[in-house]
Amino acid sequence: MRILIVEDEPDLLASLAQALREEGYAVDTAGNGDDGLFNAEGTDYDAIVLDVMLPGIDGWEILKRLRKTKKTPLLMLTARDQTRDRVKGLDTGADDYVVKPFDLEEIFARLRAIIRRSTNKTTNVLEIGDVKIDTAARNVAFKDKPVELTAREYSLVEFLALHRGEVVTRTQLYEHLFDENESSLSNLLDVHVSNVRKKLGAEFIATRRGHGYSIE
Amino acid sequence: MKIFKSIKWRLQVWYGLILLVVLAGFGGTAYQLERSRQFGRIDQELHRRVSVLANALRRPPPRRMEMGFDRPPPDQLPEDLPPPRQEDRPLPQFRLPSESAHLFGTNDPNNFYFHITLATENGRKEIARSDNYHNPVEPTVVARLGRYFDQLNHADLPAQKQPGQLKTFDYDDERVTADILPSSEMVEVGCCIMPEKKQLHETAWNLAAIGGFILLVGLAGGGWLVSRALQPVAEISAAAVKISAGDLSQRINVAEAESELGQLAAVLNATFARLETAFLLQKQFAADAAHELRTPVSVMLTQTQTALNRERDTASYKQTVEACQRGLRLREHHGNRCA
Repeated sequence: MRILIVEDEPDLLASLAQALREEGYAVDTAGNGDDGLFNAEGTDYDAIVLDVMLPGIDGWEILKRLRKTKKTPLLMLTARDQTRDRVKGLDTGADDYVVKPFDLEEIFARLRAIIRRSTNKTTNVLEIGDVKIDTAARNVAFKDKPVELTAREYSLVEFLALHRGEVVTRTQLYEHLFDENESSLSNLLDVHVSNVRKKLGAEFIATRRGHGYSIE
Repeated sequence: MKIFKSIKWRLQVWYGLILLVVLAGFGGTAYQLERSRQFGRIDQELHRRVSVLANALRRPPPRRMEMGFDRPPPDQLPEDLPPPRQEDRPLPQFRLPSESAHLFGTNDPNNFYFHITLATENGRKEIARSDNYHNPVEPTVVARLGRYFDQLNHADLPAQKQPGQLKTFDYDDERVTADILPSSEMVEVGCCIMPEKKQLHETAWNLAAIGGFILLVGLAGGGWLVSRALQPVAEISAAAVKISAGDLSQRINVAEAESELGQLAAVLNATFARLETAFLLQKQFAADAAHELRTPVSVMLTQTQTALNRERDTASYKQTVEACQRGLRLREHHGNRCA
């Protein structure tokens, strides 16, 4: 899962990015409105965390312009907690709204919720054959036994499971699993796929040669 | 009583009073005009009859010519000769000319009657009376008229006893006109004025009814006018109530900007606008201040929560503590600005 954070306060941006990375997300950051809008329009993020008060283009404007081209799930982040502002945010196209100061747990939960809604899933638990994926607890069980996966491996499984039945291209996987700072070495993905097959069975991830991967 | 303090009601009451006075003035004048018209007509009739009787007295009927020996024809009477003393002569004979008989009697609704007397040493002697001359009037009216004319007689001022010096009295439902002739006979002609009084009564009621109707219509119209005139006041009041309840975006609807109330409304609107701007500025300031103060708290909260999520090396903890310190400094800075 790849997430964009647009926030002008550097300490907040850094700690939020760190916390989300530790949760297993690939995180891109933008420190002002212009960069934020550029990133948001150029990449298919799984979710965007957007501060309202920004230097350059402000959060409302980013939201308005982004909604003309993309439906990326978006969480507004603001210190203004007036109902009018919240209504304005939600009406302009935000999927959720969090008022500062917030708890990290709440941000995580709300992000999971808007991503889940965007993939038309109703629960946090995905069952595929013998494999059970709990997206809230971020763990995977195979034949009712918990399986140890690295964060990156979990993200791979989760992304493919959320797009079950579709062929996911390698480019898509790179876009959603790695952030802009990681070098996209082509064999890194192959290593992750091979590790997951070892842990969850060789048939769990099917290879579509010349296209990508899929989970049936 | 709140209702009597309202401008609307006070205006209505004053307007009603003025309308009432005007209507009463008009009604009273109309009544008086009608009254003098009626009585003028009656008086004309009475005077006509008095002169008919006076002429009949001066011109005795031809058959009785030998009996009017003491009364020479008027053209033979010397102008400077004083009239003969009443006690020296017998009572003159009088007969109502037949062509004038229809002037008196009960067939007329006014029931005209006459009474002719002569003042003598022994009081008033009756010369003639009509059949319908009735007693109830006599004691009072005759006494009053007699006194009046006797005073004239005893003053020995024959020049004043000119025909045409008529005296008219009202007595209950009767109206009596009397005249004293140069030959000292007193002619009274009276009539019943019941029909006229009845008609005047009816006129009075009609005027009162019409006046009452006009008063009602006027009051209704006045009420409508007052309501209309005070409508802007009600609008201003309603807007002010909404504003005082907290809705500062309310404005008074100014339909007629040129009128007195329109100008007031414009002034009030300007005041409300300034009030709203000031209020919004204050609100904005409070929101901004809250934002500025919340950001450092968010930084520290996120930093500490992230740091505590797992075991970290000393450098990470140092970074976290430094970030928190920056957050505290920022907060202190904003706090000082708001104070």
